[in-house]
Amino acid sequence: MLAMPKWVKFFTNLMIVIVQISILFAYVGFLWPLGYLYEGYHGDVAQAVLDNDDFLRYSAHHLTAGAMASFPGWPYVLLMAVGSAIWIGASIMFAKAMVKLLNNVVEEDYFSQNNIAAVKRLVVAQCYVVIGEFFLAGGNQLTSSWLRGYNNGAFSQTWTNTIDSIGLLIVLKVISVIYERAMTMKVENDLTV
Amino acid sequence: MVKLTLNVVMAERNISSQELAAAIDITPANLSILKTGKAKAIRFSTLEKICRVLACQPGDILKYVADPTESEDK
Repeated sequence: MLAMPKWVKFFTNLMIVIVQISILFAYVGFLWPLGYLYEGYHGDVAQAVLDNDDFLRYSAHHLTAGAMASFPGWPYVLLMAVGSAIWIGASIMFAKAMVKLLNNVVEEDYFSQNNIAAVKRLVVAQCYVVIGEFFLAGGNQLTSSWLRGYNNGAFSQTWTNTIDSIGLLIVLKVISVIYERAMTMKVENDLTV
Repeated sequence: MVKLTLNVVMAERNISSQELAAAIDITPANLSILKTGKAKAIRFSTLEKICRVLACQPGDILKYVADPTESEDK
């Protein structure tokens, strides 16, 4: 079997370390949805959104008091809290599956049931990412429609991002199916005498 | 399903697994896969070597047995 070049091994190991560090940060990120709920519980959501540095407004548009008053605060808060929680959970799931896969690649274990399970887990995680982004895009649509501005910070996903994620999901599913087929062929080949 | 009756022919010819593996140039592990019925396929070249060493026909070591689960499906 062909040995993996040293530089590929080095960068794969580096990537494993980076992904593992990002998993730790992602766990801390679970505080973010709580922040949204706190915002909803403690008063004027529309004003809180406008006061947020990450929220950019279209300069030419004058915001009326009526639009501020009618902003659906709780639906926004719930969409963002649920969406961000699902998205963070999915990202952790995705990253863990990626670490498992990369570790096996470094150990030159290319075709195994563990890898198939990891690739399938990537697909499932990406499904959750799409669901999370659907909620987030809905929440961000509310601020865009009512407050005529857009979120430029964390969880600023729009419908375009959701469509992109669906595209990635399809690609991952295709890879998963091909990989599974390759694994079957490998087993058949191993058992051909 | 197709079953391999290699064990029977080997016993008749009084040849051990190691001797056969060496004679047909395959590893004992692969011969074991054949004998235990785990093999998914057998190459013509392997079949040819087995037939030559054991002086038999392919039909002597391959046997078709109807799969009971398949007949239930029909």
